[in-house]
Parts: sequence; structure tokens; C-alpha cells
Amino acid sequence: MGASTFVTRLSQTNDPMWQAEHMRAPYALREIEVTEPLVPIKLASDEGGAHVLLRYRGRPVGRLWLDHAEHGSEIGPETLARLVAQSAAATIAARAIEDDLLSDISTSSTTPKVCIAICTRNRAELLRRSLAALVAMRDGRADQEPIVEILVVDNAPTDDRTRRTAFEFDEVRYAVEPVPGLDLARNRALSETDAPWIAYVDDDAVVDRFWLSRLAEGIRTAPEAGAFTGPILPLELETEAQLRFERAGGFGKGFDWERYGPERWGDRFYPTSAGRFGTGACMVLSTKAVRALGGFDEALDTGPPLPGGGDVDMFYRVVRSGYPLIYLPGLLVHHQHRRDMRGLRRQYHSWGLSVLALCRKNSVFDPPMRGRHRWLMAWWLRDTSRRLARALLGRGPHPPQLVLSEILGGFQGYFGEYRRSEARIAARKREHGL
Amino acid sequence: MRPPAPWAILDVDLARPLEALRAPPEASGILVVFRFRGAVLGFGSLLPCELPLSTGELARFSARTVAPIAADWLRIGNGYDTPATGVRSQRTADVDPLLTGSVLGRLDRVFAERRTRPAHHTASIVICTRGRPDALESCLTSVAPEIARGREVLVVDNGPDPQTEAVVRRIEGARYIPEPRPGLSVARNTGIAAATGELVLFVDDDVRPEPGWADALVQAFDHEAVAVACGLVLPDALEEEAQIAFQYDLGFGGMGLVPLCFDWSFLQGWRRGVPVWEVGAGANMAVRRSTVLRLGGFDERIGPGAAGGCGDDSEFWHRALFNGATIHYEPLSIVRHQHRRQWDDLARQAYGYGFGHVVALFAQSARDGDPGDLARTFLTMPSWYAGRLRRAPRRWLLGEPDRLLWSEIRGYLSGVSRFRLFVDAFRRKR
Repeated sequence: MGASTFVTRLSQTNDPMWQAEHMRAPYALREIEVTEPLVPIKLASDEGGAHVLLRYRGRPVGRLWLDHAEHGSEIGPETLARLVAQSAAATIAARAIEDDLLSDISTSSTTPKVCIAICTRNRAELLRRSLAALVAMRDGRADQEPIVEILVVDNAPTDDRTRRTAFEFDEVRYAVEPVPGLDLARNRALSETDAPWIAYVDDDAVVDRFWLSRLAEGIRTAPEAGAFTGPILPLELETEAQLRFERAGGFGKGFDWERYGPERWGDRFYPTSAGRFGTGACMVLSTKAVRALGGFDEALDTGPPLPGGGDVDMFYRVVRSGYPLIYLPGLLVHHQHRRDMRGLRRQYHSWGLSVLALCRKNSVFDPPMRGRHRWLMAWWLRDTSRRLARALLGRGPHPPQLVLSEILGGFQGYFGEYRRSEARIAARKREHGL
Repeated sequence: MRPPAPWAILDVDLARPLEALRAPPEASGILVVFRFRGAVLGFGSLLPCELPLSTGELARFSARTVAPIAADWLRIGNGYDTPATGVRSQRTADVDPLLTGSVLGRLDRVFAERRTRPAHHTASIVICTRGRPDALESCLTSVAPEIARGREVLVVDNGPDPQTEAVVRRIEGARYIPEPRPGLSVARNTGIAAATGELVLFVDDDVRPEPGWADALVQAFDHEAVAVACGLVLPDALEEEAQIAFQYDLGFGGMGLVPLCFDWSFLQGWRRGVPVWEVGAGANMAVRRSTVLRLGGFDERIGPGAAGGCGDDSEFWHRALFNGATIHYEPLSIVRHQHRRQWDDLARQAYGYGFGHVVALFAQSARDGDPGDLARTFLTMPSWYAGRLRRAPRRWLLGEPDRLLWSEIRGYLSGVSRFRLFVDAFRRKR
């Protein structure tokens, strides 16, 4: 898990929202369906504010941050209407026009099977919640939606809790990947299924209730795609760490449809800034494409000291090999962010690490892109040092420690972490007699 | 970071069933123009490797691209009002029009209603030309239907030659007016003097108007205060490097997609001159004849031909605004402009832009008394060029050199050398 959102984070400026009163957890999570009459949003006295997901006929179109300090404990319909119009009018129009245009187009009604894989390790409680949502979605599927196969991949388990949790549900398949490593587990899932599409959902993520129908629409209009990704929104905002993470951009990549090809107009870094493509917490891949690419890179996502990057690496390779990657705003999952600041620091460390480790890796394996990787590294250095300077001045979203751990991670990644990880994973496989 | 020439321009009409979008052969860049009921709702840029797009994917791409403009159109209201203060307008905070019924259906009604507004005024169409009989011929062919509808068409030949005359004589009902004194402003004034309509629609000889362009401009004069209306100018072709650079580096105006209203409030709050060039482009412009005559016509010291470059149109807009007139920008009036294909022509144009801009700033500053225009000449523009100079080596290393910079700076400097123009005008005014 864990991709980089450095592109979104760049856009943060000296917003007053980083001041302490806007960082008072917990935040309530609410939703507004904009086609229905607006009702006031009430905040309890201990809530620092509300994170409101805006939907248009069920499709996510935007979100609002409503601070207790700014809006008081009750936000009336007029204020809400104004905020909705400001932040989501164009996106609502986009969804409405999309509906108009797509309704005139006949697409094939056959929907191929989707295998939903959850790769997990010793987190039975989280897995149960995630599975419950998936099973409910599978059992409630409409006729034109894909047949769903749910697969739990247990990665190097130390006990049988994951196994027992998986069998609490009907028709959930279970597989074990004995060698520890997230991308080993992902490849195991790939070899366990014959479905043309495989969706990876993190065990700490819960799929949205419209996830499957949005995916079905996406596959129907773009059967040639190599990958689909979507937005990740918070499942809870109970702690300061979660709030800071989400306010700094989180995993969010907006609510606009995007289609990424092998090149992009006017983008000097493309496709090296692969963090923009999406996040491994929710990705749907064409099994044909992934198999043609040789599966996930098992030297990534090995847990510390190289705990991330497999998803971003896959997106990069999908796009480079000419398969379109499509960002579907409806492919929404709700993700439980790290609760404590230590976890958050590790997250940032792993981002820096995986960005630079991938840069080094792909400079070697993809020579035509070497120049662009160099550009990205130069940009990264400039961006992180600027953010560090701002953090030291007490501005910007992060305390200096977070930026510092990202920079340290970056240096570690630059100086050979990928090669070391390759050696480690080879040794790990030998241990397991592979 | 844009693809090299040639580019293809593809129109996608959202009112018709979509077809899969395929890359035209040999194009290294594709500019997609999204049209709906004649209006332009957005531009998309694609690389050939991103194509083909299936109909479904094209639908999603279209929806995302046109949504902001569609939302603006619907929130403007019933199609009669325009955002009040031009470029810095506040959007109305209402999302309701987007929520009921089909957005495209509502948009269709907005456009239909807008197009059935009354067009009381009589209008003359004036084409100023100089030594380009071929371009003029295709322009006249597109304008000819207006003759049948009772509008007079005058061609002012600003360098009279028999070939041009022959082209005009072939079109029945078009009048040929020779004007030997050089200068686009001179030609425009001659056209205005000879025209009989209440409004004068100016068309450059290198544009091709789309059907309905004239009515949309005439309808924009719905109020007595409206003195000028400008319309949308689309590139006709982007096949040469010079054409692409003209469109995107020289900042050719007139590409707005929602109606705008420029009035007294637009003049407020600028310290470095009012950015009148944001109003539109002189290649598609209509003026109220009585107002032009009252304000003394176009300034014959400025503009292509006489002084060189540009600025004849924007200087007049400036004068009109300072005299209390209103200018409308009307995106339903669309012409396609043929950009020059030769790099030399473009370099000359860049020189002229630098030059004409400064001369226009001098003239309007002396006449309308806005010191901001002088601040713009002597502070803003030098620092803008300095910034470009500073970035030039890096851009050169990146393989995207700023090739027009030198021409523009030369034009700027020779413009500054005409400072006498400001002094004389200022004295005369005192």
C-alpha cells in the first residue's frame, strides 16, 4: 500500500486551514446528495468539524471541509448550497453531461468476471469489515454488473485468524502466500484467478456502495484499459494524524475522470510522476495486461525497509506499455488512515523512499525515460526542501519531522535500496525453498 | 512542452451521435473543439498515441472538458444576462440549474433563446483587405449569404489592385472601395464613412465567418450603451510551427467561451493599465457607427499598415470604455482565422505586437488619462521581457526556445522611441 501524492501536496499553500483550530480531531463524516433538499449539518461540541462527501445521484462529485471554528455548530442549507455550488458545480455538470451522452451510446451488455483480492496479514478485525462490505456488494449485485469472486490472500500468517475470518463468509476463497511481501501476495492472487479483471482492495479499506456498478460502466466503455483507479476517502477522522494526512491531500486525486495514455500533452515528468495515477488501496487491473508485464515487482512492498511502491510501479509499467489507465471518480473506497503520528511519519518516510527507489529502478529498466526520471528527482529535491523550509517556519500542513522523514526516506531510496531489497527478497524466497 | 507541427483540429459535435475519435494521419498533436448547437464549449488537446477513443470514452472526455463552460452558461441565467464585470466576474452561487433535467437539453434552450433575441439594427459588413485576393475570395464566399439577407457588404482595398477588385466584382452586391492611404485604421474609418448601417461588422480578409456569426453580433447590441461587440476567433489550421506559435505564444485574443460584459466597472482597480486586449480580437468585431463617429473614429496613427502591428482595435475599446460605453463579448459569433504559415511573417507580427502595443498605450494614456498605461509601458513590460530573457537559456536547453522574444523586444523598443506621440497628444489635449 501507500503511493505518493506529491502532486496534490504541491498545491497546498499557506492556507489558514493549517492553523491549530482547524486541526482539532475528531471530524464527523457526512454525505450530501445534492439532488435532494439540503438539511442542516449539526456538529457535536467535541467535533472539530465535518468532512462532507458530495454526491450527485450517488456519484461522488466533491467534498467540503466544514470547520466548527468557522461555521459554528449548525451549518444551514443556504451556506451549504453556496459551498456546494462553489466547489462542485463543474463536476456535477460533468456527471450530468456524461449521463446524457452515455445514454445515447449502446455498449456491450456482457460484463466479465471480476476477482476482488484482499491481501492481508494478521489483521482479522479490519479484514472482517472489508469483507462484509464486499460480500454485501456481491450479493446485491444487479444483472448488468460483473460476477464477483472474492479472494483473501493470507500473507505469511502466524496464526489461523485470517483463515477463520475468511470462512465466516459464504463463497469467499482463501489462499496462502507463505513468503512475506505484499507484491508476492498480489502475484499469488493473480495466479489463483481466471477472471479477466482483478481488483485489489486493501484490508483497511471499505468499498463504496456504488463501487461495482461504476466499475461495470468503466469496463463497458473502456474494455481496452489496463487499469482503473479511483479516489480514496477517509473512513474515519478520529485522530490528529488522520486529519493532517487527509487535509494535506491524503490519497485524494479529485473527482474528475481521467485517461492516461503513454504520453501526455505538456507534461515534462510524465509518466514518472506515477503517484498521480491512483493508489494501491483501490486498483482494478486487467489480468491479461498484468500477466504480460510479468506481474508485480516482488522486490517492492516487502515491508520495512522498503514498504511501498508496488502499486505505483505497476501503474507506471501499465501506462508505459501502452495500456490506458483510467481514473474513475466513482470507483471510491473509504480507507482507514494511520491513527498515530508515528504511523504517519512512517507513511511519509515510505513515500520518499519508494519515489526515489522507483526512480532509480526505472532509470535502469526503462532507459528512454531516464531523462524524465532525472527531472523528477530534481523536482522532488526542490519540492521537499521547500516544504521543509516552510515547515520550519511553522507554515504548511506538516510538522518538520514529517517532511524530514520523507527526505531521509528519499535518500535511502536513492542510494540503492531497490537493489538491497531485491537481494533480500531473493534470500527470503530461498528460505522458503523457492 | 507541446508537440511539434502539424496539429490537426477536430470538431466534436455533442448534439450529434458521437463517433469514435481517431488520430488523423501525420498529425503530431490534436486540438479537439467541442461544439454544441454551433457554440464552442471547450477545447481538448490530445496526442496521437492517446487515440483512438471509443464513443464511450469520448463521451467521458467530452463531459469533463465542457462541464465548466456548460455550468457557467446555465448559471448565467436565461441567456440574456452576462457576468457583470468582465474577466473578474463573480460566478453566481446557484447549482440548481444543473440538477433538474438534462444539462444539454437546458443548454440547447439557452442557446435557442439567445439566438432569438431581437436584432433591430441594420448592419453593414466591412472587409478591410490588402493584397490577398485568394484569402479575400474565401472570406467573401462565407459572407455572401448575408448579402442575400439584405446586409450590405463593403470591401475596403487598402492598397488597391485590380486582382482584388476583380474578386469583389464577382460577388454580386458587394461594393469595392479603394483606399490608397495605408493603415488598417484608415481603412476602417473609410469603411465606416461609406457604410449606411447603424452597425458596422468588421471582418478581416483572412477569416472565414461561420453561419450565424453576424446575427449573434447584432443581437449583442441590445442596449443603447453597447458600442462594441466582439466574437470568438478560432484558428482555422495549426499546421505550421508559425501558426501554433501565433495562437499560443503571441496571445491571440478572442477565445473566451462565455458571454462577457465590459463596462465602467471593468476599468476599476487596475494600477498598470486596463487589460483591454482581454476583450477580444479585432478580427471579429462589430461597432455602433454613431458611437465611432462621435469618438472620432479609429486612431490612424496606430495599427497595421500605418504604424505597424496591432492596437488599433484595443485602443478604440479603451477609448469607448473611458467614454462610458459598454462592450459585449459574444461567443456565439464565431469566425475562423487563417494564421500566417511563414515564420518570417510571424516574426514581423511579433515585432508589430510589441510596437503597436506600446504606441497604443501611449495614445490611450494621453487621451484617456490613465497613468497606469505608462506604468505598464515602463515597468510591467520591461520586467516581463526581463523575466523571459532570464528563462530563455533554460528554455533553449530544454529544446523549446523562446523564438519570438527578440522580435517582440525590438518592437517594444521602437515603440518606446515613439514617445513623442504621447507628448504631442498630451500637449494637444491640454
